[in-house]
Amino acid sequence: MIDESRPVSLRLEVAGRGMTGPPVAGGPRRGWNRHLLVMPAVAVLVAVLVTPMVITLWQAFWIGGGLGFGNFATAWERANTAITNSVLWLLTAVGVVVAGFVIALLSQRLGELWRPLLLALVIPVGMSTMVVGVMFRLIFDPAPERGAVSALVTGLHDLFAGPANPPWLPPAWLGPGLVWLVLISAFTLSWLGFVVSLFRTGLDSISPDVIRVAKVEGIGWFARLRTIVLPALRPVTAIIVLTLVVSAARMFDLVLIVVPAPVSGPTAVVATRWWQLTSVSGGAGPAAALAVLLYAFVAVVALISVPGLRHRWVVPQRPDQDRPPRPAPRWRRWVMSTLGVLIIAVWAYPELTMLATALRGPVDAGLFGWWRPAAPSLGSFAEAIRAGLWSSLLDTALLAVLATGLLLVLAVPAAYVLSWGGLPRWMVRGSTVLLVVLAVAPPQMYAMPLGQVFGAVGQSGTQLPLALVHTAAGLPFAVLLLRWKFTSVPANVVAGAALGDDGARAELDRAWRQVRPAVVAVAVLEFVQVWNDFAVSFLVSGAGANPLSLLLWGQARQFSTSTGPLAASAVVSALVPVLVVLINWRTVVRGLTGGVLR
Amino acid sequence: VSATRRINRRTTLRAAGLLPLVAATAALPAGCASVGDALGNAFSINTVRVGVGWSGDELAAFHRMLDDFHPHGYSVQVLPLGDQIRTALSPNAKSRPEVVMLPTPGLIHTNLQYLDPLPADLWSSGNLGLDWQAAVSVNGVPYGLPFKLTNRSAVWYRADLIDRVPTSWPDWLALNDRLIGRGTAPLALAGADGWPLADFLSNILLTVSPGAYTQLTGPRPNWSDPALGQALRTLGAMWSVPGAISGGAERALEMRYPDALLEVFGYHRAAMVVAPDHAEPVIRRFRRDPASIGVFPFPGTGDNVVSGGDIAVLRKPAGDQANDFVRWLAGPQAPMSWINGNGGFLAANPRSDNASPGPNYTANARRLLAKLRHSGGPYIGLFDGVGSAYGTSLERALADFLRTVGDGGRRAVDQAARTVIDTMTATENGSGG
Repeated sequence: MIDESRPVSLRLEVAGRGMTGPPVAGGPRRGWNRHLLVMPAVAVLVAVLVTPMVITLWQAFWIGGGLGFGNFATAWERANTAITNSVLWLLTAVGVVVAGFVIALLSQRLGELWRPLLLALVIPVGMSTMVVGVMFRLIFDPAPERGAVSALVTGLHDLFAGPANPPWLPPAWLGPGLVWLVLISAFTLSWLGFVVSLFRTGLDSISPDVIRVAKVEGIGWFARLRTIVLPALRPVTAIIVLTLVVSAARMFDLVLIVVPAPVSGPTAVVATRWWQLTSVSGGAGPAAALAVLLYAFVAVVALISVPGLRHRWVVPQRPDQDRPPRPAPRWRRWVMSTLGVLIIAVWAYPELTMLATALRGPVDAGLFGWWRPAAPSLGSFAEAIRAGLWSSLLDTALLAVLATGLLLVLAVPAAYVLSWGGLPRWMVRGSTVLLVVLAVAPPQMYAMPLGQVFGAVGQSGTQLPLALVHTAAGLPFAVLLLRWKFTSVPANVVAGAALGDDGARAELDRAWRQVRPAVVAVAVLEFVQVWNDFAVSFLVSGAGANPLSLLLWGQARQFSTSTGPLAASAVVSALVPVLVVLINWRTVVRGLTGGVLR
Repeated sequence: VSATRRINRRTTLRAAGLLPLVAATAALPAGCASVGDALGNAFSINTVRVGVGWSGDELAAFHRMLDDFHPHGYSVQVLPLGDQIRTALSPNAKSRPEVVMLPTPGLIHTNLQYLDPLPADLWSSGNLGLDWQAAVSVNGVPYGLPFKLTNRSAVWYRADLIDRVPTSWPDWLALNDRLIGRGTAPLALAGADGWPLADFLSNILLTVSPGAYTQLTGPRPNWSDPALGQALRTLGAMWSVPGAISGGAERALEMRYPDALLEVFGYHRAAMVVAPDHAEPVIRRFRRDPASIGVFPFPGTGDNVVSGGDIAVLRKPAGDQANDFVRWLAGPQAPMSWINGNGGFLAANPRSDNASPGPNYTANARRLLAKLRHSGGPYIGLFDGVGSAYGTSLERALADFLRTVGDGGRRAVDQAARTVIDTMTATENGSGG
């Protein structure tokens, strides 16, 4: 390893270790009133999340004249298919995590193909489930004139078996069997980018020297993976598994938009079954029980992953002038490139289909798929605008900005108090657990009581209460993330600032400089989540609410004859969040992989 | 130098990261003149909220209709509730509209405590046809205003395939056999939506016994009525013929209503589709051959018509503005832009027919409207007449029926018919989910 042509020299560097405790024993004097900064956040959480959740709990256990488990028995009886399906979805989520890990491992050998691959994978992460659902409905349309997969299969059949009369028809993609393929593909498309991106960041943070030493020691590839790589990836794996398991358990909009009504029975998941139960008379109790079951499961998963998340995980600053990797044999490079290009093509195809469909006139888009020649036209966009696209876009933007702004106003002071407010240790620990449990609460736990309250005061379907609900839903996670960034500021800096003359002001100043990237990450995640939300708006405000995802859902009721305007609306609605995600992706990943809890 | 450049680039990127947020909030109003409206709607100030079940073209047509309406001192917000329109009156409903366009008149009777009566002078001023009065009144007090009527006894067909339209049920079966012999599937069925199947059954039931029809669409229906069994067996006789349903039963069950229209007129894979009058604008838009669109009344229904309607009701407590809006809807001119623009609208108000400027109905729509005006009844569709709980059960039961008897399941028809009746009876007795 030593370059013989250069003189060997030894450089020594003397570095001080950062102080880990305050310079003066004992805590600084603090006014009790700064604890009040946490109160607005607590008030919102109690009013908008905790209270309705307690009501739902009460409904779940209340049977006639007392408390009991009757509703749970009924819920199981009426929803066992849905519960089984939801469990299958959890396995699917784990499968996506494994696939993402493998791709992340392989991607390390991709060279310059990595950036386009990352781009292709991350674009769907910014899209709403509704948009992804629309893309897959387009691709798997049962009519061979419209759906690319149907056309391909029919073409192949006619090629080998000869044209038939009556014409041979492709299998029912949206029938009870194959609809699972469509759903799982859509779910994978939405989440794989997130998984690969986070795993890759984790893999890159493992010091290459450790791997090199292990190689020299003669430790095999698999043993290295087991003893070095996987343990180092524990925190990031915990975040990924938690995110995917929670989203698989809460799956709602995808099933709603993709599955036709006659198949909705066998493909029901807990969330959709819950929704059906709430609209049946006498279904409120069992529905509440189902929501509690769902929540209990998700909360347990979240609590299990808390220790994993606690691991301090420092992303080392890798020197930019990294040693170029040893060139791999030509055949392997060829295989890797082919694989990379293939994944990019498969991932870009749905988006290109959607775009190409949106750029056809409404009649052309309704009758034939993108491969049939048609004059490019903006007619579909024009029709989408006539159907209320602008007002939905405006309402969605207003809602997302309102919720994001409110979230920052509430979360930053709360996180500040939790990290430096001098609260007793048990209180901080306890609040962490509470926040984790609140962060994964499914909207089914609080939507019904909230909807009724907003309806009773005549405010349902209006933006202000809806924004408040979104803020409350995003608040626990935001506080957790921000708190971690606050505590990562060296303690002596904080303590010094607190003891100085400017006190809190300087403290805030420093804090701001430190946590600015985290604030951006929190804002981006909340903005995108609210922009893309369907479930919260739909369950709290009903179908009459105006966000884009509900507009898409309404148009999808007459899918084939609204294909053009639907694709156009989907393109427009995906544009803003995808841009926001793409531009800020590195900040977001840094924020998420830096560790959330400590 | 390179460090500075990197910082600049990073700062620029960071600034650019917020750009879409800014663009979303700042640039949108430029494209939309109704910021004030949006803000007004955001806080529900001086706004009449109207819940509708329409989507797609119909929703757009309703929006255009409202563009002609310049009320004093309030604006109108449309809530597209989709299928949830059926639960818009329940106390659990989330988006509480003041005016609901109800597709199911039966719900008026079961939700009376949540409704305000209509302004008293609306019906007495001779604006409205009398045949609907009983269906929307309770103890002589009208609670609903029929706004848009639907003729559900129509069969749309390709005129290039069929030269003589069937007038009786045996005629129709014979025609189907001839078409199958020529290699064309006679029927496209939209099985993924429940109501087209229910409309099919409704029409046959009306053919079998108008009396049983009234009984089954009334309160506390008796599903074991023998007429229903007969209707189901008749239906099974047509659906179970091999090759009768385009693509077979399984594919029909993933086909939605507009897909069935395209199946006939866009892809020429089938010859006929049972669809309401408002299918016409969609068919005209997506047809391959403009000369080939024809419509005949459902064979055997005679003078009677299975009908439907979107009925405006006032949800309690309805303010003056909501009353004012309903008064406007009752006027003969209100739906004119829908009729003459998008089409696919049959005015409930008979005075609309002779208004000036008058409605410019297509020839087909004019015939379907005339049949509707002269029909007995009204015989409201089974799916709409019996309320939401039955509607969902009926939808599932008929999908299972189609799955069992379709593609040559003739021998299974009797059993499948009994299953439908048992399912509906179980729903009636409250043991069904």
